[in-house]
Amino acid sequence: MRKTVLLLTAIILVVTAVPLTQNVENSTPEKNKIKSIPQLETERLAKEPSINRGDTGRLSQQALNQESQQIATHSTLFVMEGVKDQSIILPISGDRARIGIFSAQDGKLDVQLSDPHGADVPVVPHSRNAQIPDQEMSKMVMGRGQAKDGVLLVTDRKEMIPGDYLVSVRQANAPIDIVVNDVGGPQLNIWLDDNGRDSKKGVTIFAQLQDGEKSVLGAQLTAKIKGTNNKLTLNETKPGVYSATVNTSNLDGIQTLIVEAKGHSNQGLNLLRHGSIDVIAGKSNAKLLGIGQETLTNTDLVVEVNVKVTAPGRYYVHGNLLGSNDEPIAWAQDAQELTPGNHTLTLHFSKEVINNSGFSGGFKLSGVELMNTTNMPGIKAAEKIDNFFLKSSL
Amino acid sequence: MFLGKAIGRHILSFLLFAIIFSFGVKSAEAITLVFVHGKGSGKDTVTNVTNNYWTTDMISAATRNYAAKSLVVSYDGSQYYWDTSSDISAQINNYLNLYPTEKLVFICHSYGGIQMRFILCNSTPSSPYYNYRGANFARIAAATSHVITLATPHGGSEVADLGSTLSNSAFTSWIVSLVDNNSNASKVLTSSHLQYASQNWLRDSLRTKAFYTVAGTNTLNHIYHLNDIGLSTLSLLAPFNGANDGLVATWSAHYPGAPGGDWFNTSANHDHNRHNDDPGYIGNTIGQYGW
Repeated sequence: MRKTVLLLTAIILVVTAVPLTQNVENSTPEKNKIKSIPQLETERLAKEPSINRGDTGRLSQQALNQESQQIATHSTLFVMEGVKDQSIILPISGDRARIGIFSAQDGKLDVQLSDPHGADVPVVPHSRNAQIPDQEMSKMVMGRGQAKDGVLLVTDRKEMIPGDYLVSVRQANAPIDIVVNDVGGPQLNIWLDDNGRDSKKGVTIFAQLQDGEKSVLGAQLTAKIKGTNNKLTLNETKPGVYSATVNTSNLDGIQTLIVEAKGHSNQGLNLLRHGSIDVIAGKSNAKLLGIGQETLTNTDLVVEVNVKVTAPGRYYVHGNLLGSNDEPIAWAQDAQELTPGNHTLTLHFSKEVINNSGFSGGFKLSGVELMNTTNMPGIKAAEKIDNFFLKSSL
Repeated sequence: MFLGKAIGRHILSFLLFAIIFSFGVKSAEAITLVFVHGKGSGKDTVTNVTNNYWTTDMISAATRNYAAKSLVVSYDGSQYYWDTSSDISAQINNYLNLYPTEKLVFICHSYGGIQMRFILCNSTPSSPYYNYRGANFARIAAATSHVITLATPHGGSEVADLGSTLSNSAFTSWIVSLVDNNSNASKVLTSSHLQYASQNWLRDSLRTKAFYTVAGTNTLNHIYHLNDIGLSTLSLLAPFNGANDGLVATWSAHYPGAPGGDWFNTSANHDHNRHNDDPGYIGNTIGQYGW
């Protein structure tokens, strides 16, 4: 009887504890903060009366910022793929690093991981359960499973001592992959000078290793296009900024550039990082010749954009109307099916939108770009027009 | 007797008028919730998408026990969003052929939100990819009330970035099955692709319809759920910038600007935030506040 009571008490405690420990959150507190979308829509439409046009609209500061934002990626990762060595050094520079040691085929993979002081770092095995139905998002389970289903060994320490860690492979029947999210260590930032443009100049890739407030100097950086082995060296063109020009003349569509950075952190620790960024390249078959006539109609400020195309297809032009001090006013776009030859596309900036902005003159045309949108992804003509002052005033 | 008959006739006429009028109003303002699923490994049947991806409980809760109609679409979630948009559009336009006056509210999970951004950003004749490849985006836009996106990686996914950094390894897909490294869908879910697309063919100003975004902030909702273990492990190894749901960071799910905006955050992870279950009960929230 006493045993039964104890057992029941234990069951009740476990049942109560599971939701508490798993940070289960009932939806009620969230709902208190949630606004009704019909109400939000009513408020939005009252504040932002739509001009009901698809070719022009109000340009917000947020939209202008997003358009001019530099495309960049950030990584605290490093990866080692297809490693066959019996002992592997992992240069950890972050105090919250997570290490994953992985084999997709060898569930019996076993390693010893040692920290910079030689102490063992436990790794938790995870495996895949093939019995789990395919529609589940993940088949991963804790613990080891069938040998053929592979294994992932993951560190579970929240705090790590930065320094070189040693992986000693006790047993492996296949090459292993290592993925380290070196949280707390320097970050590899990658960006491009331009993207998606038909240019004979190619694309310049930039990278920086950010260690707190400072950049890492004297590092060795290389880049390669995913799926190829040709490496390109990034030179330190400014202190802490590394760059190289990628020849895009033979590239078409979306390509991934993988960057590898090796160096030393500002604390003198060995440092390794990998990151990637996408490049869109191809032929636009188009040239943006310049800005043509501008006219005022009853409804619009119309600006002609002269273009030349060398292949039939759909061509798209977009431009922004700014105040003389770059204040956002309006955007406009046009797209046409064109045959080879010279053509004019027109940007119709709504006078209603311009009037609502409070500006009546000193307009500047900016961000004018021509894109071949016959297929995805679109390729922009090499030319771009910025800071073109218009003569018109309302 | 005569008076009684006359009153009866008037009452009958009034009732008939009231029924016809109320029916007319209902059909003119009827709402259909359109469910657009996320990334997958191929095109599945609508029945499987309904039962396995969303669950009938989610659809029932979101539609307030079918007070609104529902349409579940299916597409090959391993492909580029521009290649799948015509398939999705065809299914929606077929539905509009049957119910031409319906107002559509889209419920999109994950990659499904990118699909709807492409369709609604390219629905006017001057937009870059207007009615791409013969699809009728314009009609869908005209019928749309608004869009709700559940954990859509609008600004890209750090998990896709990790996959894109790996040359050969099956690492990410081994942990979470749908996150392969080399499918066309994975290639366009990277943060650099979606930042670029957001400056061009997915630009916020290209659409007039509002997107209301829901973001997940937690990964291990239940230790006894297998999906939660995979998502929480991936969350540790992918270079997330802040809170995330295991596949999508909170910042990314809230990336789009006006029209629309951030709706709410939920502790439901990337699996739970497409279901009406604990935590979050997203379906109930949509049913109560979403339309």
